[in-house]
Amino acid sequence: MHDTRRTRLVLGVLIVVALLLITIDYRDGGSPVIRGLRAVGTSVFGGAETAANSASTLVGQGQDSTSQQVRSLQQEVLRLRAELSRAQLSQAQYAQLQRLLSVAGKGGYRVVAATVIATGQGFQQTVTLDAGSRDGVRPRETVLNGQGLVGEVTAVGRDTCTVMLATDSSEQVGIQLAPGGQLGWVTGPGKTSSGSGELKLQVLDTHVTLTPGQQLVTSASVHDRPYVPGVPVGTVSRVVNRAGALTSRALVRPYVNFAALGVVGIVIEPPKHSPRFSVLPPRPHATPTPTVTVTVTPGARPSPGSTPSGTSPASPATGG
Amino acid sequence: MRKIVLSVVAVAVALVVQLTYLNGLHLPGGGVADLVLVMTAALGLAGGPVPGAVTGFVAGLGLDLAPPGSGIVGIYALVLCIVGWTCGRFRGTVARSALVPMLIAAGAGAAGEILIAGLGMALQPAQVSWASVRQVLPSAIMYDVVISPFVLYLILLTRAWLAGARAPSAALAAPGGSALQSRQGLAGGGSRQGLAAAGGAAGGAVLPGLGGWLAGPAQSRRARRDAARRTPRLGPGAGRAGDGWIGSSAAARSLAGRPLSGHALASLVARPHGTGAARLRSGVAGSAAGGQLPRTLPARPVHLRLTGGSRREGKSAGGRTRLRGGARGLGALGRGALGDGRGARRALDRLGRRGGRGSFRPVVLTGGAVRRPAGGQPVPAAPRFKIHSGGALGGSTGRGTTGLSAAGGIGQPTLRSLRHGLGQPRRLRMNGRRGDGMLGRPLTGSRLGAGRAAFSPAGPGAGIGPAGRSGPSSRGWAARSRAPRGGLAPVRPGKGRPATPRFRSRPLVAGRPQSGKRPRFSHSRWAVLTLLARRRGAVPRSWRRNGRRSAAGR
Repeated sequence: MHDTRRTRLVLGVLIVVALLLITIDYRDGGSPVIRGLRAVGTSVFGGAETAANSASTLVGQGQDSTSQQVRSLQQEVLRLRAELSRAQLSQAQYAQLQRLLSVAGKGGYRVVAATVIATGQGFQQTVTLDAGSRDGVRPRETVLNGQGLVGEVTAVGRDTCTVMLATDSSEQVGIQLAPGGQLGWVTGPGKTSSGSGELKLQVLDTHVTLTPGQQLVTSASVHDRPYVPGVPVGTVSRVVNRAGALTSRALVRPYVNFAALGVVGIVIEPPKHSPRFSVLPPRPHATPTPTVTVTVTPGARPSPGSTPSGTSPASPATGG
Repeated sequence: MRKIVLSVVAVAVALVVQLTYLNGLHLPGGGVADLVLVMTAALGLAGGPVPGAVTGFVAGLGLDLAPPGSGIVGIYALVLCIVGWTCGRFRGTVARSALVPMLIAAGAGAAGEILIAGLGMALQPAQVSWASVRQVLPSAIMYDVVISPFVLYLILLTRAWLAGARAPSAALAAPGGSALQSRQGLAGGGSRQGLAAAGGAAGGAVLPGLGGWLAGPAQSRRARRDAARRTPRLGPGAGRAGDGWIGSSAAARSLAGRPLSGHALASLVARPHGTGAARLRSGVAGSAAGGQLPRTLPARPVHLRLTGGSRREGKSAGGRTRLRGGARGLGALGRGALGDGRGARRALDRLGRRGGRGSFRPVVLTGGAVRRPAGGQPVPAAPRFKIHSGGALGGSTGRGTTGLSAAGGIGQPTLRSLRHGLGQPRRLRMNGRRGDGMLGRPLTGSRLGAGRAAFSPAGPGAGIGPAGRSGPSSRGWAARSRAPRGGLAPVRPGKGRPATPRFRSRPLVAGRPQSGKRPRFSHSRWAVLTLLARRRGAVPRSWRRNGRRSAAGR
């Protein structure tokens, strides 16, 4: 059983099979062989992942929101709970679902809520959700959560679907800049050491002046696939213009924390009208800083131990 | 079967844990540990090349196809297949060292990560960029290296546990079999060298892939003690390049042609400065004289007396199982064991009568004889196996399990396990593979009539030599055809063809073994867990000679 002809034959056969699969998939990703294999893998491992995930609780982040609108949506939350077929949602998931529903309500998206049950291996920036074709999910649909754009559905099984995240370096999302509506696109950074890297933005209009803090939403794709309009993407964090470039470039910090994805929503029905920039979170304004000017009245007798009498009324002035 | 189940379960668990939990972790550095990769390396190290390759392929295909997978199908299958195979090639290190398998597993993890990243960069440049690889790969490798010893330990422990739960004979595969054996005191006493030659050389080899220091105790302390009692002194060994045989050393060569007395032969082997150091954990069972490549076959039949003393086997008095005969008795045994049958028999009887302390049941294996026709090439005779039962030691009704492994000559088949009690039907199992011959027809349970068996292959033309390589000199093996009753009967493994006994051995041309791996003496290397082993009282012994390695035992 050491190194005989038979053992080498086994190794050779396995390697040839693997190379064959690689070749088939490399040349034609949609070949029936690969699709069949993937369907088998999805049905086999998707169930296992769902089962494994139902036992564990996901670590997510959530904040208590006291928004009135959110309170009014609690009935729908209960209904969606049943859709999620979970006996109990964790506190974090509950908060995420609330935010998701508020975003979906603002934008007019009809969403199917789902949770992340598996994460891609290696350099793939993909996740698996526990909603599939039985829930009405189809390929090339937008995935968002309460913070913004998450990604795009790429493959759908019966009970699971695979989402390619917006941070994948092969993913390109068409965007609109918030005030002016200039068009551009963002590309994912791929897998980075920080887990959630910055997207690369290119704007077609070279005359636009990109400033840090500018907000981005998705622009509508053709037939709203894969991206529905109006989903918040992120804010410009750094401008990296190069002289002579055809496009204006910048780095975009995404709204979504891709390191802590929990409850997400799949947009199964696009809005009837483009929500434009209404879904965006309020842009942080510069807050006025009060300053106090003290003038000394000439001729006033200085009286030690007492407060200066000639104090002018405080005049507010905007600073910063 | 259990190993297959273990592999399947381990791979499935690793896959699900990897995809649902590990990949979702966001650890510093951006990478995560690749549990499936490390598990494949561990299973390969524990199982061998083919199980490793198959396991790796299946696990990799699972990773390629499991739902979040968006890469090109086949990359992981290819890489993990190669990793499993390569680790399987190093299976032998598991039994010998603790550190080396850990290093191999860690290296396999690192190499696998690099291979995956490289293939991804080549085939999916859009998804796998050099910037990502540069950022993520170092931390991923680091996490792999960190978890690999634990995964390896877990797999070895589980396998040892499975093997221990299977049958008492798994004591053969008990962890640190050689250590257990040395604990039994066989190699203790004044004539350690000689006895180590007889017992250590034969029994030192641990069944590869199952035990080793990493595997730790099979079960509880009590179970370990039981296993130690049942552990035969002789274990099957795997031939390695450079191993020697009894009577084949340089000194023995110089004496070739003369009939060697048992004492002379034993002293050749036992003398510390004589023929080469006999060490524990040497390769081929029965190979005692180390260091020299075999040049000749033994000039006359070598009778190996193997002691299979376990508590439940034949015993004359209810004494301890361990040999505590002291130097004199052991010395006598040592010399006798390597000498001719009669002297050893006497020695054993002497020892057995002395207060009934040692309980021996001598088993005489006669084999590897070479007849030298006048002026002709040495012709290997058909090996004969004799089971000696009698004297003061017979008459037990118990049933025990003893592994025997003896090679009195080149190309002699190895007895893998001997499952019998005295007065019971005895089964001698040849080195078991499908289609191998068995002594005593184990399937039907026929008795070994007079305790004497001769090979009777299926037909006169069926060679017992190495399959496919029947040289002119391997004629001698297919010698004696005898009635199946009491003899070596061909065993039918399946429904189809009648089985032909196959013995994996090397063809003899002009008395020399041709090609193939030559056995080699090795010794227990430095083990990381020496401290643990010391507490268990199972310190590996090594011998130093001429300033390099001498007796380092206590």
